[in-house]
Amino acid sequence: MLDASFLLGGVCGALFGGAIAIWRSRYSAKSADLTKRVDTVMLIIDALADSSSRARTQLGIEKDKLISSKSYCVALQARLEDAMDRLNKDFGNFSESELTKAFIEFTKACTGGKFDETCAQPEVEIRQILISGGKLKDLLAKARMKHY
Amino acid sequence: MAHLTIRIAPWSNLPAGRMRADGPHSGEAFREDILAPALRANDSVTLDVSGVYGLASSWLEEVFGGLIRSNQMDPAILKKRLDLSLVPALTAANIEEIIAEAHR
Repeated sequence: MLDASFLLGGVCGALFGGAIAIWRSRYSAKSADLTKRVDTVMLIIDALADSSSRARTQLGIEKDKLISSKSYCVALQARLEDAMDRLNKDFGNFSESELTKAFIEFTKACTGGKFDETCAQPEVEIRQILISGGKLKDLLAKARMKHY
Repeated sequence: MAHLTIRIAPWSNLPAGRMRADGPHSGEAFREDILAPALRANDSVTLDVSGVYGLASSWLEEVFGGLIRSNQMDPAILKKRLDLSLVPALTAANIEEIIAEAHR
């Protein structure tokens, strides 16, 4: 009788331990995926800020004509939107109004206004792009932290 | 209740430029030749951006902000008639913000 209850306790403990291990490994995988995905979004933000600064101001275009092209810039913006949309669909918490506003502000700085002309005040536009991009990255990091 | 779905991709999957002088698929051309007439002739218009390789904010601003600025459409009627369910969430939010800003 004692042996049977001892055995049952052991089986229950093993099952519980196994369930915890499975949950933990799944949580770790999901958490690692979230970290990687947010990092990827942040890299796209940096790439868009760089491309847009060059495209709008025509500064440094001799260095890399591809990155300075307006088509490259718009395509990066589409990638950013797609990546943020997928992030929200897969993990949630990435569609808060503050984050949406920051996305609009950043993309407006990158491809809005007089995007089709060479700007007259490059220093203003570059600052707007980099500052709004930094704000969007901060809010993404905050949204990521809400998952832990 | 007349309804129309406008797919942008067959018109151009690379819409670019604000004014007609910037290119054949500019925001101004889309607004004047396609969207404004459709909004006037229908009770609701669904915009479908699938297959389009990115939209610059300046293009969106010229299309939707331009509708308000040029008095081609009352903001309240525009909001009522324009269906953005086939537009990605962030682009839809951007369009709504552009309409609100142009109205201010």
